[in-house]
Amino acid sequence: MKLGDLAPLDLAERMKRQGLDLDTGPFVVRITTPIANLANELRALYCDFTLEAEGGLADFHLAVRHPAGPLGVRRYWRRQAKVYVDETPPFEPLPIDMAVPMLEWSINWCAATQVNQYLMIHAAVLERHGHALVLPGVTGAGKSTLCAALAHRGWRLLSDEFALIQPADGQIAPWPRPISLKNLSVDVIRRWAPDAYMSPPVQNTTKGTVVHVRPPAESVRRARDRATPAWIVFPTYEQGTANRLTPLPKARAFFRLAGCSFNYETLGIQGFQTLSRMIERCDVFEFAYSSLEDALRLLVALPLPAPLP
Amino acid sequence: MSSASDVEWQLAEGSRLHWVSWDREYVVFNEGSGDTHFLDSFSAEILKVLEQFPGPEPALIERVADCLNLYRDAGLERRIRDAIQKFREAGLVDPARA
Repeated sequence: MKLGDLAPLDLAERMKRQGLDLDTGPFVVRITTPIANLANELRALYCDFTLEAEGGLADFHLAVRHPAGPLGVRRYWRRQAKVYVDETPPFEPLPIDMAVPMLEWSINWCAATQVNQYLMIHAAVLERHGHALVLPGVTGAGKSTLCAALAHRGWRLLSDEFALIQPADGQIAPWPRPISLKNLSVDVIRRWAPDAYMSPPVQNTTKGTVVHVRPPAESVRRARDRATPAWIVFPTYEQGTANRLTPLPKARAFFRLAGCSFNYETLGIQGFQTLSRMIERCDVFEFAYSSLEDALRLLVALPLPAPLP
Repeated sequence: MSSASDVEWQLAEGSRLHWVSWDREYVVFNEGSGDTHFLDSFSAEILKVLEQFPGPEPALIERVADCLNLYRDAGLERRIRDAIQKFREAGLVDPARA
């Protein structure tokens, strides 16, 4: 059963009681909340994801509740939401209209702090014809904008935030959760993909105005189809620039990628070997862009890397 | 009092190096410390010699000059000593008095 098949009232009741076990691909996420509006927003964003049977195991356990406030200011505390991971709050409470981004950041936090079966790099990942394009980048570089644009023009979304690289074979596991857009990129993607569902804008977060874009249904359906990395492209949005794709020396790319990794150092020799093999098999570029149409043309035309000897 | 020529250089205790290189630039992972290092080809050659042939500084300089087919002069010796000093600061090598 998919989340979108669940009637809103049934969903709210289930999320309030035993919680919702959402199969997101590599991880089952259990979310519990008494906040009906949050349940509805999750239903809209995750409608194509499969629900796990009740009573199974989940990888991450999250609850979103009103914080327990002192008596007498209950009305104030009802306007707040707090996320609990294994009953421990990783973040301070925030206004209730920030519950969706806060939950998304908390799921990211779970992966960044609990997962070590993959080498994890902060990167968007997309796929065409079995070959993965990895877009690492710091916040604000334009990674998610490019990711959302490509995901709505023929590329399969593997992830907006995490490249999950399997040490055993170097393949990338998809984690096609909603794409997080910020500030000006919201309107850019609204024009680029007018049919894409976006969550209501949340203003005044620490990252500015944030929306989440529902992942394409086909990407969710193929959430277990891994892809082989072929290109690593470090994007930077530069207003008014002519799009420029510049080869990046691989040894330098190694350190850029290690710097974007959540667990390279934790994995030790396994992290070094996994990252080395990935860079060996990929072509690596820096990419300054301003036009999404031109970026799409350029990235589609990237030749496949030469096969390894 | 000991001189520089008395110093024998060796990999730091517990070090085990793993190498990859692209376009004459090197990435070295030290399994002993968990640190990853970036080396140009000149520094990499010195560390490779030191990894295989730990020993006194003059012999090391001689071997590096041979490997790289470079004329041994004061300038080369200084560059090699500088590189060894950087390895030491990075925890890659240790001195052992002869």
